[in-house]
Amino acid sequence: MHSIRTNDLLTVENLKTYFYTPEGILKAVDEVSFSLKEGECVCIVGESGSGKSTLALSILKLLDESARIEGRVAFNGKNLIELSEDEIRKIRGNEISMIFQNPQSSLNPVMRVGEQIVEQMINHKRMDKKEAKSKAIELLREMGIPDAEKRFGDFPHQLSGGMKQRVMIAMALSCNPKIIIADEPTSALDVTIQAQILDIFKRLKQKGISILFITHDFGIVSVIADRIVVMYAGRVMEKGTAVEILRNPEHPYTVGLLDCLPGTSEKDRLAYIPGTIPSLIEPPEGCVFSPRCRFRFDACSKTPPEYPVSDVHSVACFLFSNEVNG
Amino acid sequence: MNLLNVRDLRKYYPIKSGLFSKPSGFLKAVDGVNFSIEVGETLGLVGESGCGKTTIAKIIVKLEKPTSGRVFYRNKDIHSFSRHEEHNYRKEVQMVFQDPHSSLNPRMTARDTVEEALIIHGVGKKERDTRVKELFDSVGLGEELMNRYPHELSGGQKQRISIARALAVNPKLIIADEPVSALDISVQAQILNLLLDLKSKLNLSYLFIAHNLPVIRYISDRVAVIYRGRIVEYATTKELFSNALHPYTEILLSAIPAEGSLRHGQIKTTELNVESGCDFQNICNIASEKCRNVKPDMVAVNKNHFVSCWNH
Repeated sequence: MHSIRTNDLLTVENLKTYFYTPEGILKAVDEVSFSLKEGECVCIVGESGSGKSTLALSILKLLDESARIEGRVAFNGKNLIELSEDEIRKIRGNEISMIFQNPQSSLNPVMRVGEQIVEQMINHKRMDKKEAKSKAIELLREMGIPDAEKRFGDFPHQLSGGMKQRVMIAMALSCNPKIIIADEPTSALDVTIQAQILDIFKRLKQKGISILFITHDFGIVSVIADRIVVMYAGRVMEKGTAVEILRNPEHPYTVGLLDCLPGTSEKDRLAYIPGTIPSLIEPPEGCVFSPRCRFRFDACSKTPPEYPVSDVHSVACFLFSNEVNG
Repeated sequence: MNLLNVRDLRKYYPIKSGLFSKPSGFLKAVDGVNFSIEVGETLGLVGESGCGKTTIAKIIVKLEKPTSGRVFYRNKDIHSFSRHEEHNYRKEVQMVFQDPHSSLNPRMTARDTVEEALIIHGVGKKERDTRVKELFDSVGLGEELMNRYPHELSGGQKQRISIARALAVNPKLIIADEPVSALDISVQAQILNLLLDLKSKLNLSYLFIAHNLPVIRYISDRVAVIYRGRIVEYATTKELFSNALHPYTEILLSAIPAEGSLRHGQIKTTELNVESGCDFQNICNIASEKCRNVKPDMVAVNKNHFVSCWNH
């Protein structure tokens, strides 16, 4: 079904986000490329410090001046990186909206939640207040909030974590965006609430909204992703369709990461990846994963390009280069 | 041999609307909890946020006083200890916290942190040096990290320091409150394996608190599932994961995202407070008239499995 929708809605090409710090240049995102199609969910998976959140923020230019962003983020025939602040503001929250990890700190604590949703619609869509209010209530109801009319007038502290995240999603949806970028939207929530929120995301996908979902949890990925981009230390290690990557992971990092999980079945002993994530200011020479890799060999002192494993799956690892395999 | 025994533990916090007003009610954080831990055993305590699992841990290490109920350590009530017994208890029962960053003193080096407990317990300088080296070695940290400050260490390394600190005084029971939930998956596996190794090497017992069921399954011998301050199901790990009986446990299990799963249409968002009967009645799909009126007691399904539900 997904193969029919082939038009790329968002294309990220060779994106680099470097922070200029007193200690040196921190390469948070380095040469990242991927695309997002209509009605598709792409999951960016990685551990902390992999650059996945910076990547999300770079797309909407939500970083401060210490960050330099280079490369291309193509959306609607425009390169978002080159847009002025005024121009990108028309896209943020309107055509591309974002949901953050912690709803508590993303909502204005002294403003009624309904007003916060309405504000956005009035700004972007020039709706009148009454119309906006009825749409906001409708959205809250759609998100499964009981007593939506009453909740419209609540302050954030009167709502539970799950309810607040529903409000955030309602807000993100208020201007009918084409793309939603969600940065760990369920990590602060209990599992049962997480399941409900994931359900909402699945419904959005069915409605044709594209989702860029950032997470460290492979369980979530297996439920929601159509395609996966695995990141490590600012770089893409492996990307491909969800089925391919979850069933046949190829990159030693992805394989290691999947083995680390205490799954739902019994395991005698967990596998683990030795060592820790490298500093992004002085990353290892060549392949960033090589110091922790079991298969490290001479070629790894250079940065590996992406080698295709199949037409829906590629790996940035010299183990998959034809020259090595002869 | 029985190490820790918790009997009918309750902790009620008064709810006050103003500073000097009378409490308008009580928040029952822990409401009649019973469990025991044998020597060399790991009991997993699992539940969602606000279910009272951390409060239980705090009562056991005497950071909180229970409203009622008793905790026995080696068959002696921890609130009627002599001075000597108290001293001993505080040595033998140690805690490891969730966030290693905020539970380590930022102005103390890794070495100082581990050594502090030894100083307090009167260990001489020479012996301390060898002991600290031993401890670093046993948690898999190189000696070159001894003089680092917390901000110079990664999350996994910091959690290893917290574990070394807990081990310094030869504890028998370690209370681990979400010790891996702040860590990355690749590091989480390292720490879980370390905890298992230490357990068999030092014959430790753990009270392992977590919200993550796969982690609990990996590390625990027995599991207690808590919902709103009460244990709703209590069984050996094998029993619980192959034959979950309480509707809440079933929901928790089905909510773990995994390929092709997620049957969560059943979770309702509704008013959770109940006036009488089972705490879980508003969410439960099989709640009957009896569930609405009478609180269920814990019943034994077999000798390894207890559940608090009228339907069993």
